[in-house]
Amino acid sequence: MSGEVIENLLFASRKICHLGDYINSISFSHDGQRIATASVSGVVGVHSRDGEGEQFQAHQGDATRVAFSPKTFEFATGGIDGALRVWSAPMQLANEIVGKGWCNDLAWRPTGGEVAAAVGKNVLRVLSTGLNAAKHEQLGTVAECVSWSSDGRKLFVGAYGGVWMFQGDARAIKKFPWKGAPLTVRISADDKWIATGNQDASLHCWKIVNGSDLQMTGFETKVQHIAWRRSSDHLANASFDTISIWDFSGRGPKGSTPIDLSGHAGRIIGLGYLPTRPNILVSAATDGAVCVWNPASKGRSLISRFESGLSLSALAISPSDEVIALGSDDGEVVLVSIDGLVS
Amino acid sequence: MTETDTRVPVTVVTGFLGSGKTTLVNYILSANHGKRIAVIENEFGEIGIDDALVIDAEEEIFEMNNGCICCTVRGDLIRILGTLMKRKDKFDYILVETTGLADPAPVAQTFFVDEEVRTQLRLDAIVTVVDAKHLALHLFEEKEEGIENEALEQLAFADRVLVNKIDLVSEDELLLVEKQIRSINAGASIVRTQMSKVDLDWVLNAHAFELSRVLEVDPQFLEESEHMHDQSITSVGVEADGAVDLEKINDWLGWLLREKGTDIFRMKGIINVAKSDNRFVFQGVHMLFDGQPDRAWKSDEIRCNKMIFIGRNLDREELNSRFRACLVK
Repeated sequence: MSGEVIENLLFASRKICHLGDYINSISFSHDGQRIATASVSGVVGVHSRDGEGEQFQAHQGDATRVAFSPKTFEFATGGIDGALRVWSAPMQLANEIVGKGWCNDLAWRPTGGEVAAAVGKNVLRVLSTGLNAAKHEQLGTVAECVSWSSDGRKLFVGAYGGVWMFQGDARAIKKFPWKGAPLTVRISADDKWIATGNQDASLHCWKIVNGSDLQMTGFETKVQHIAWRRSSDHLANASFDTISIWDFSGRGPKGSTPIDLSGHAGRIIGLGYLPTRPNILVSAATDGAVCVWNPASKGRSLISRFESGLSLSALAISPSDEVIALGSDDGEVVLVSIDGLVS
Repeated sequence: MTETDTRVPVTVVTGFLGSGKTTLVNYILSANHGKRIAVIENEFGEIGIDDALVIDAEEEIFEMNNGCICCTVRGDLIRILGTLMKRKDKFDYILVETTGLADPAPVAQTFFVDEEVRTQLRLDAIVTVVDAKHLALHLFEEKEEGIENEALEQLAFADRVLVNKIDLVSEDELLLVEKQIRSINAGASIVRTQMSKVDLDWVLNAHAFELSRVLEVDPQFLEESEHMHDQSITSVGVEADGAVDLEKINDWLGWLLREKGTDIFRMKGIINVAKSDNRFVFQGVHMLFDGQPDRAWKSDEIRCNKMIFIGRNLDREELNSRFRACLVK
C-alpha cells in the first residue's frame, strides 16, 4: 500500500511532562482527561491534559507498565521489583502484591475493581478494595502477557508454550498450546478469538470455543503489537516497520494474505484503533512518525502522517476522543490531537 | 563491524563450577577500570560492587522455529538486555555469566535472532574458563547416549579460553591441556592464568567475535592433528587458493547448516570472492550465520580462503571437496 498522504489532518501537539528516562508505558483514564506514564527509572507520572500533575517513585528499578482502571481514577503499576501496585492517587497506595520476578504485563478487568499481572512465573491479582484476590497456580515458565475477555469473566495469560485461560480461581481451565514464545496477547471484542504476537516473528490465533488454531509467519521481526478492530473482523499486527491487517470475517483468514501497510521508517512501538472511529488505525514508531490509516479504504490506506521529532517508545489512545499520547526514549510525554477525520 | 560500531559489547563467560569463572567475573568487576558494567548471572554470591549492576537471571530457553531454521535462544536474556538498553545511563560492557552446565549455544544465538538485541548489542567474545588440573576429568566423562558433554561444548564455542589454576599443574601437563583444547577448538586463543587474573583487554571489548577478526590463529591448526582420544567434537580447517563463486558458496553453506547445523557448533571463514577486491567474512552458530564484505585485500596479501568448522561428526574430506566445488574454475 502506498505511503502517500491523502488527507490533510490537523495535528496539534503539546508536551505534558518529562519523566527523565525511557517511557515504557502510557495509559489514559476512562474519561480521557488524565494520562499516567511509567518510565525505566521506576518513576510514574499522572498528569491532566494541561500538564498539571505529579510524578513519584513507584518502583525500585523499571516501572514496566501502568494502566488506569476502566471505571475509576485508580491506576495500577508493575515493576521489575516484582510488585503489582494499585494507587488511588499518586503516592497513595491502595493495595499491592509482590511476587518473585519481573512484572511483564498487567491488565484491568474490563468490569473494573481488579487487576491481573504477569509477574515471574505467576499470575498475580489485586483487588482495589484491598480484599484478597483470586490466587493462581504457578505456571512452569515465565508469564509474559495478560488479557481479559471483554465480559471480564476469563483471564488469558501468554507464556512460552501457549496461552492459559483462567476463570475464577487457581487452576487454568484450558490451555491453548503452541510451542512458541508469545510477547503480547489480545482477545477479540466478541470473545471468540485469542491472538498472540510472538518472538519468532509470527502471529498465532485460536478460536476459543474449540481451540482450533492458525499460524501466520513470514514477518521480518518479532511481533510485539497487535490490535483488534472493535467489530472483531480485522486484526492488525506490527513487525518492525510494517503493519499487516488480517480479515477475520466470515470463515476467517485461513489461506489468505494480509493487507500490508508501509509508511514507517523505524520499528513500530504501538498501534491501535481509535475507539471513537473504529475504522481508523493509529501507529507510532521509533522514527518519530505517527501514521493514521484507514486500512479498509480502497486504494490508499495512509490518511496522514505526523512527525513528532522524538524517538518514540510508547503510545496510548484516548478512549473518548481523537487524542493520543506519545512517550519518548528520553522521557518526554506529548499529547497529539487529530482533527479533520471524515471517515 | 567498523571502528564506529557503537553497540555495547557483551562478553559471555562460561566454564564449570570450580574453574574460576566467578572469580574472573569478580576480578573484572573490581578491577579499577572506570567503566560501567552490568553482569547477568545465575550463580553469583556477592553483589554491591561500585559502578556495577548485578542482575539475577533465571535461564529460560525458547525454541524458535522459523521456516527451516530451528534454534534456541535465552528468553530471559532478551528481556533483560532489552531493559538494560533502554536506560539513559548506558553501560560500557555487559557480562553474561552462564551456569556451569550451560550450553552456550542459546546465549550466542540470542544475538543473531532478536532484532532489538542485534541492533544495540554485539557479542564480543565467548570466554571459557577451564581448570587446568581437572579439565581432563571433565572431557573424558562418560555421558549417557544423546547427552552432550558440557565441558566439550563450552570449549567448542569458545573464542577465548582461560586455562586457569596453572599453579596446580606442571608445564608438561599444561602443554597437554592446551593440546587437548586445540584438538577440540583450533580457532580459540588460549591464555594461562592463576586466580583468573587476565589482561582485561583480552576479555572486554576483545572483538573476538568480530567477523573481520576471525581466524587470527596459528596456521598450523589446519593440519590434521593427532586425536587425543575418541572425541566427539573436533575442528576441521579448510584452506584453498583461488576465487570463490559467492552464489555457490551461499547455496552450499545454506544447505550445510540446514542439514547439519545441529552438529556444527561454530563456523568461521574468510573468503576471496571472485570479481571482488574485498575479503568476505562470515561466522555462524549452529544454523544461524552472518556474513558480510570486509576490508579490501592488501596489494601484497595472498588471497587465500580459510574456513574453520567446530562440531560433531565432521567429515574433513567432504567439507574440503564441497568447498573446492565452489571455486571458480
